[in-house]
Amino acid sequence: MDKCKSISTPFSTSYHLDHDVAGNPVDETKYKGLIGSLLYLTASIPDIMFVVCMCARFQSAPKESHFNAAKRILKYLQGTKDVGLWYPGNVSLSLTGYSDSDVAGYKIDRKSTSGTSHLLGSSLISWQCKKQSCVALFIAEAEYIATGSCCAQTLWLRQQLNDFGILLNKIPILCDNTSAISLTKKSHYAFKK
Amino acid sequence: MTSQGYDRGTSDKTLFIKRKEEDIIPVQVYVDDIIFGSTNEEMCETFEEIMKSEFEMSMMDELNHFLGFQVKQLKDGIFLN
Repeated sequence: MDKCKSISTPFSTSYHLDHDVAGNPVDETKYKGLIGSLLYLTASIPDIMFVVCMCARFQSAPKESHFNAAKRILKYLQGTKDVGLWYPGNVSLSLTGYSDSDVAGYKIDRKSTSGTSHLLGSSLISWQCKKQSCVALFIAEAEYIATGSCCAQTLWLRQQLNDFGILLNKIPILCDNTSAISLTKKSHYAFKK
Repeated sequence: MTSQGYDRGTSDKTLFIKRKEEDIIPVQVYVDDIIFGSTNEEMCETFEEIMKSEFEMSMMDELNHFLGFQVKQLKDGIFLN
């Protein structure tokens, strides 16, 4: 794999992994070994954390589709060897939070996955990608949960920046779902039934 | 640390900050790793003195590595890899 083609994303957005009962089985030891090595890498390359753990969910009876997903991570690593985070000096310190989520993206338990990120000025300082702990019944609910965890992180960052002497009172959090946004505004309407 | 005029972080208890007029020196402790930087070089030196007198430790100079990350400090910014 050291001469493999590179790819710019660690995971495909167009298909979802499931147990793939009908798929071609692959060597379990080999698959687990690959996951183990990738898990070690997550200590210094945190951006692959989510996808590695995603692949790690299928360690018993892994199929070709899972192995291909794991190999895609290696391709991603190949393509991102020389990239990193850039923190330029002399930029305005404005914090913005972004949140998004899919709906029942994980077909096995029908839980949604939320993703959040925070930009300070133009640099990425915090990001998260996590399967939600409860089953959301509609899009707005899944998005609302994602925005909630984004908000929690925002509050922590605000506190942290406060320690550094940077007082931020208005921190925008962006969410791409109008129903979820109106839920945040009228919390007494939220999930009435 | 607090006896030396450092304030402990409110949410991150391993962060210590000292302010003197316009200058600031944040000190981040991670188990046995410490990183610090300041807008005033003198404050860095004083901190170095205090730490050396209090504990037996070595100074590693400019930050190149922290928690498995490569840190490159350039004139117009910092590159993390």
